[in-house]
Amino acid sequence: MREARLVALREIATRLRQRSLQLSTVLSLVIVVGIAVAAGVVGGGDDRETVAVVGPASAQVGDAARQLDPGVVTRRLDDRAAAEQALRDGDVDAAVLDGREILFERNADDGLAAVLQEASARVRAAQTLRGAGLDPAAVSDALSPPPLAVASLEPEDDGAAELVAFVVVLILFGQLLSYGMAVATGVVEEKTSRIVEVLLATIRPWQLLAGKIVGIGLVGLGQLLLVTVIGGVAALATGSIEVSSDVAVAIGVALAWYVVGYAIYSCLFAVTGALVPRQEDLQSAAAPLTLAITASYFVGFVALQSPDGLLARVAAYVPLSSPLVMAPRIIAGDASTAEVVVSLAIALATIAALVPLAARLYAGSVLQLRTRVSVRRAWRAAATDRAG
Amino acid sequence: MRDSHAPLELDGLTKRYGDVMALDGLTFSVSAGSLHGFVGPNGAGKTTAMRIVLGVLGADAGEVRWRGAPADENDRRRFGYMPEERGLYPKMRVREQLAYLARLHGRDSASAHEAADRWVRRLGLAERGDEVVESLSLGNQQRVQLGAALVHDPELLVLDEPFSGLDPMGVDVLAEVLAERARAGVPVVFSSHQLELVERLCDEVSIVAGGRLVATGPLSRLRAAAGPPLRRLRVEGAADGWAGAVAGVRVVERRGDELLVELGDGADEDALVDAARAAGSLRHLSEERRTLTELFRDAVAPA
Repeated sequence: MREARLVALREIATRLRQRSLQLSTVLSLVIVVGIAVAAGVVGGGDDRETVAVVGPASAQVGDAARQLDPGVVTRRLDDRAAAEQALRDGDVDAAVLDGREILFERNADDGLAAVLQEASARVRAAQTLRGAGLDPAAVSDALSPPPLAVASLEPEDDGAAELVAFVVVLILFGQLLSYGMAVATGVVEEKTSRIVEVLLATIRPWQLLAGKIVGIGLVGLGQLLLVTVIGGVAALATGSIEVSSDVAVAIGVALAWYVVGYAIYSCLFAVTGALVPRQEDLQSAAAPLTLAITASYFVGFVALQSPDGLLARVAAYVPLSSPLVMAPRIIAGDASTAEVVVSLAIALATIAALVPLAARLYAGSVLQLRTRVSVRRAWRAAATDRAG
Repeated sequence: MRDSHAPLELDGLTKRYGDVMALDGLTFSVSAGSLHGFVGPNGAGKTTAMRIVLGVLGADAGEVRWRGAPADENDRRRFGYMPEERGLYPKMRVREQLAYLARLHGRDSASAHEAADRWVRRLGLAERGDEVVESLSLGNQQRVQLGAALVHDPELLVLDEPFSGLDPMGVDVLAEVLAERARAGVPVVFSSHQLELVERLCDEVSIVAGGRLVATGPLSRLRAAAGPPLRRLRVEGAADGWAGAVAGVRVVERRGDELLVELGDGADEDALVDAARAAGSLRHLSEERRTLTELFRDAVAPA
């Protein structure tokens, strides 16, 4: 373990110094914060509505409207011209003129109009009832009955969860692809620089492999944590997400499925790197893996669009696609507990099978410095070539 | 043949790659504190044997013994190795790289850094210690490579063609370092095609061909085993054929007045001198040692 830890620490130290890591972190932060801010603006996270009131009768309507809807803010203006100007400038969303007329800039906002109509009706009704000699307190009670409880058979959220799920798929895709590829590239680098023979004269192949995978994986995990936490804080600050526990759950799910996905893909990428002699050969050799990640990424989106579709349901259990499908499904609330448990169990079983397999294939091929090695040859070589 | 006191023993190493027999029962041992030259034609199995000693490769049969017991992982951690294909992290700083390798060999952080500093100075790289390896000249990269093999003060040094690609100054530095390690009691095995160099530096030599040992032992013993002693003489004004008439003497080579003769069974050096003086004027007589190159040729191509 000591050797693997030393290898991992070297990987971390080396990578933290790389400009490419710093650049990709900044880029990810810009994208995530950008999405959070854009969602806050577009989604109307600020749902206050300002109503201009002109004249004392309007002021009463405005007060009633504020009671009906806490999101309503009123502003007194002097006359109709001032109200029209404020509407055109976008300073107010609607104007109530002398308690008789509601003015919008273009189309009437049905919701706001309904609130104002209701407010106006209450003001009129109260005046009438008081005029009929009723006790003002009784009038107030009569006009403000306890509201009906609201429930729905299939509650639909405001889309924030889907947005978070979308961002998580995007980030997970980037992390799995870039850090998986980093493992393969790192393995090939050690082959082309020939340092691998120096290293393997001292430590065992599995120690080198484990250290490399864990070291690179931790850098990826750290970057993911940084990006998701800052993105989450930005989303809360801009109001595109309102509940901080939603953010915490999303970050936890993203980190967990990153670890699962990275464990699977990094083993496969490491073996791919060990099989090829040069960086030039890596792109084509790794193509099936990059394709698998990219396809899973698209399936992740499809799963968000149609969570009950066959593709989404099947891909949630396939170990190569489950990280990019399950993470968004869980965040969007599309996955049942049973589905999560089964999917995770399959993924963990895959990892348990993959780790010794990858270690053996890696050991059987990483010292073949000149030629491409077939999987079959790597498998057999591992049995005979390496000293016990 | 096997010396039971030798710290490193290769015993019956066999390795087959498909149809190719890379090693075919290779056996020899390396004494403590000796510089051991490992020579043989290309493809003789030198690199394969060294990789097996280091455990980078497993043997199909046979074993490597260190201090009398099969070499294990802990023993090998204290070996130093320079592979034929030089290898370092190109983008890692020299000092950092040596310290890292020392740590992989089991040193703690402080002593690893101390050793890295020491070897950087010893190899004349003090000013380059904080540069990345790829920015160094090839000669300096070779020095770092040597440092990589030495930084953990190994108990055994195995070097595959360490002199290839070195300039004369580099050769001197390396030769000096290896001799110093040998004096410190460390067995040093290195392969080389530069036989004059091996002859100059080594106490012991092993010659392999076709994956088998052809000859091994101290050079003086190999010379003695290679054939009767040789004498080179120059006799002016002598008629042809005088030397061949001396009992037990065989003429190996003749160039003008100069002769190279073998003193076979029953030959008497005094009789040779007398015959030479009788035949003409003896101007020169010297003992001729068989060079390693000759031993090598005779051993590898006995036909």
